[in-house]
Order: sequence, then C-alpha cells, then structure tokens
Amino acid sequence: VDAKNPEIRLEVNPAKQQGSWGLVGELDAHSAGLLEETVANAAMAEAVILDMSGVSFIDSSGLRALVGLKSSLEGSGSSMRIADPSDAVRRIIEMTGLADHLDVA
Amino acid sequence: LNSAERRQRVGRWTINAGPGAAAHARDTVSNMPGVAEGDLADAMLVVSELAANAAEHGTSAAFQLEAEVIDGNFRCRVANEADASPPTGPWPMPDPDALRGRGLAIVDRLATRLDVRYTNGEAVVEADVELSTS
Repeated sequence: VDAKNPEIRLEVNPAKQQGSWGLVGELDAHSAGLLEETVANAAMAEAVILDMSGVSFIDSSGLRALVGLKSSLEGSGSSMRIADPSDAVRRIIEMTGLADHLDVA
Repeated sequence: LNSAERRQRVGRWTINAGPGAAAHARDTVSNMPGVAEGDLADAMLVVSELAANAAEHGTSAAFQLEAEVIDGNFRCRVANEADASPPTGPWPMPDPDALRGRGLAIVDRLATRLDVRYTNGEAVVEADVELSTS
C-alpha cells in the first residue's frame, strides 16, 4: 500500500431507489470524504437514505461525516436517515447519543 | 510466558501521519495475540481514535503506537509531537449536532483507564480496554 495515497476502504454504491445509498467497508477520517463527496454531489433527492448494513467499522471521524452530511443536506431542503445499521454502527451511535439525531431505523 | 510469547504480546510501530493513519494503526493491532474476537471491536475503535487524533493534531510526520496485552487489558499508547495538550478530561459527550469532540469521549467510555499527558511538546495518550477473555 502506498503510504502517501493509501487505499480508501469504503464503497458508496447508489441503490435502485433514488437517494438511497449502500455503504460497504470502513468509515473513518480517510474514507469520510468519499461519502460526503459522493452523496452531496449526487442529484438532489428529497430524502437520502444510507444503508449501513455493510459498514464493518466506524469511528468518531465517521460520525462527524454523518452529522455534517445530514446538516448540509437539511440546509439544502433534503433530509437524511440511516437504515439497517450494522452492529458496529448501532453501537457507536447509541454510545454517542446520536440515534434520534441521525434518524436511525 | 516465555520471552517469545511476551514479545508477541507487545508491539511498537511508527506510523505515518498521513490520510490512512487510523486504518494503518488498526491493522497493526488487529492480529495481536491475546485479543480475542469478542474484544477486537473495542480495541480497534480505541486505537483508531487515538491514531486519528495523533494524525490530525500532531505536528510530526509520524507518531508512535505501542500496544500490549497486560494484566487482562489491551493497553495502547500513542505519542506525537504537538503544539498543545490534548484535552485532559473530563471528556463529556458533545451535543448531537456538534461535529467534533467525540473521539476521546468514546475512548473514555470504552476504556477502564484513559490518561493524557503533555510534556516538552510531546502528547502521550494511553488507554486500557479490559479484555473479557484473556
């Protein structure tokens, strides 16, 4: 692995339903930018849904990306919610008291 | 433990403070003997938080990571040069709409001990995570 340009261990895949995305991999400081760019730059949907069943790891940098993305989407008239969180996602969201704020199903 | 086993349970790494620092730090400890599958998630999360802080707030191109299985705990220590001390606690959980300040608050909740020191321009953060099976 190139130390200066390490691999991003996250996929942000558009789902069939417009505004719905499937996240697979690790959401941390390095991969957070990919999530923000991909979703924020996509055609505006009324409601953005992030399926996080495939997220094997997330830390506070990943949470920062989710909170920031939600704020930016709401600022432009959209919304964001999290569907089907993996155990890792559910655990950190509950630990940090973000379940309601991030609208976790 | 014989000396070979003891060596395996202690690791020291120099990690480049670049964009992949947290992932690299997680990788180094993910295969440490003595950390069972059920304890790995918490250990990796703590290491990731400490490494991300060192990469973001450190002023050196690299930081030091040490990890050790000792007395039923997974202990990790991250040291980096810094212009200011990391927060020395308490580490309350920020409000839901806050963007920052969750890293050490998460570590504090996962760890049985969290110690932050800042001496002569070096920040050292050490945390113990109790192992359920060691």
